[in-house]
Amino acid sequence: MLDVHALVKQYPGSARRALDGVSLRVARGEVLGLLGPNGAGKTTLIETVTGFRAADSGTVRVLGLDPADPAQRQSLRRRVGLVSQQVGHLRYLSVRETLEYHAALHDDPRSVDEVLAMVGLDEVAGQRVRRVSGGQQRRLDVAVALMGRPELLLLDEPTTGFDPGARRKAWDMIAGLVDEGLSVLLTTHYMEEAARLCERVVVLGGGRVRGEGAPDELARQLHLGTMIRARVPSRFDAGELPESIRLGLIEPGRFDLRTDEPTSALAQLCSWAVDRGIELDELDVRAPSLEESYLALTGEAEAGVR
Amino acid sequence: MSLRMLRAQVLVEQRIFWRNLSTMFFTFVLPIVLLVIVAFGNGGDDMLAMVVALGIVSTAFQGLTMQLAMHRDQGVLKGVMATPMTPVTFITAKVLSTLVVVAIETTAAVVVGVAFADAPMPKDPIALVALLVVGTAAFTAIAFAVASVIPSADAAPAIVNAVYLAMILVAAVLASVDELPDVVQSLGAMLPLTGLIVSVRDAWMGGDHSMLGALGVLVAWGGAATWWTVRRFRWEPREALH
Repeated sequence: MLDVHALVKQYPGSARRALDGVSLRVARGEVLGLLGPNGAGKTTLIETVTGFRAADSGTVRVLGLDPADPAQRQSLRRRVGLVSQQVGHLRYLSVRETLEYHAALHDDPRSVDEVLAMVGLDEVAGQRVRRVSGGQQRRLDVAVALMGRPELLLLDEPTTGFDPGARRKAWDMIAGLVDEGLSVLLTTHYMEEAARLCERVVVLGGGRVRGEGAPDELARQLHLGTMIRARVPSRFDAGELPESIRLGLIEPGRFDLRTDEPTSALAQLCSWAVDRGIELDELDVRAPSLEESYLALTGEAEAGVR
Repeated sequence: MSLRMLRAQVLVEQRIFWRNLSTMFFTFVLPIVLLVIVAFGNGGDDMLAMVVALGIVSTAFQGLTMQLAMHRDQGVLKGVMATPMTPVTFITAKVLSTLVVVAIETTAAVVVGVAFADAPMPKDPIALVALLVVGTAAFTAIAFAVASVIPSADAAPAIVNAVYLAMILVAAVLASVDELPDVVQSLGAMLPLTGLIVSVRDAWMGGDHSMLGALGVLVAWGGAATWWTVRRFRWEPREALH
């Protein structure tokens, strides 16, 4: 679907490479998340995939087509939808007219009413684009990208500025499209969004791939361990706890441990507590989140740049 | 070029032109107001021809250049280029849509001129139509070329109006003063607006200037502007990168 190999891009006048040998693949029907701090190269990668930017070296194939070749770009853009905050719409057209216009640019477009309903813009269909809210304009971005029945959808921070309810609706809609066979490359700063939508994520930092895998698999790769937290009344002597568990008592009254062996750690902590009749208030056992993996990976990336 | 896409783009261009009242006023209403002032002020044949030419330049050059700079900053141009729309179809649609406006303006000028200013019916209507088409295409190309060097929408009014005023001043002097030395006059005829005014006047009122020469000048300017546009036009805002 999308195949990026050893992509390098350095902007004129910039001291460092925006992309420094990035490789990634998106399979048919897959949602790949592209994570990374601002300046990590996410947008440059999307721009290269859409043919707006030419790479210095490396190859990109989108549905077998080369976006750097102007002769192939038009057929590529028939089959790829782009949602980007850098794209705007004519302010003097109505929402419906905007979609009718985009329908005319494709050979086999979706029906305007169908797309209006999909993104929930049917109620403002008759309003001028300049009159609708920012969130509705973002949904119009998605609607426009869907008009041509794309096989690959490039979503560059699609839900930035959405309220939580609108974001959840957007996720459901994207998930529904993926069920129908759509492939997606998604950049986002919302880890919950990546964890909810993406089968795999690629973490970029300083123009390089810092980590790659399923959202929950990254933490295992990084050996982040499971987090066990609880409140422990400070009057109890923790001296009888095994050394490895005692490390979790970071301050009087608080237990906070990260471990690769959560089962035995939890058993030891609990039996110690039960023997003394201690209630472990706010006991919390959590697998490491994608956000923790992300921070570990990009923190390392920043250190590498310096 | 896909006719379906061309039709859709022309329709969109027409809608946004007539709906944006401020640009519509400056590029469409103002030349017609000028026309009426000229017609009732006995401004003469030169002035009528100048109003027609100004209609072309204000719509195809002034209005379009500002619009391109604004749409580029708003990401509209990038959005269009992310679709199967080709640059050639897009630019052709801009020319055709501008022609619609220019045709209305010119018809108004002829009607008002004949009815109120004792102007004759156009002596050479075919040449007049050819001038409108070629003039509109040439000034549309010049609009794209000038938009190529405008850094942002904020800078557009200053640059566009400076070029526009310079063209008008030079043309007004060169086209209306016959006592100028021949060298100055023939240099003036090489400028797009001056050549357009003189040949529109000839096609309408009759005259002995070379029509083919005037068309040739417009084609040459249009060609040069197209050459520049192909090399330098940006579809994206300058600060778009991350």
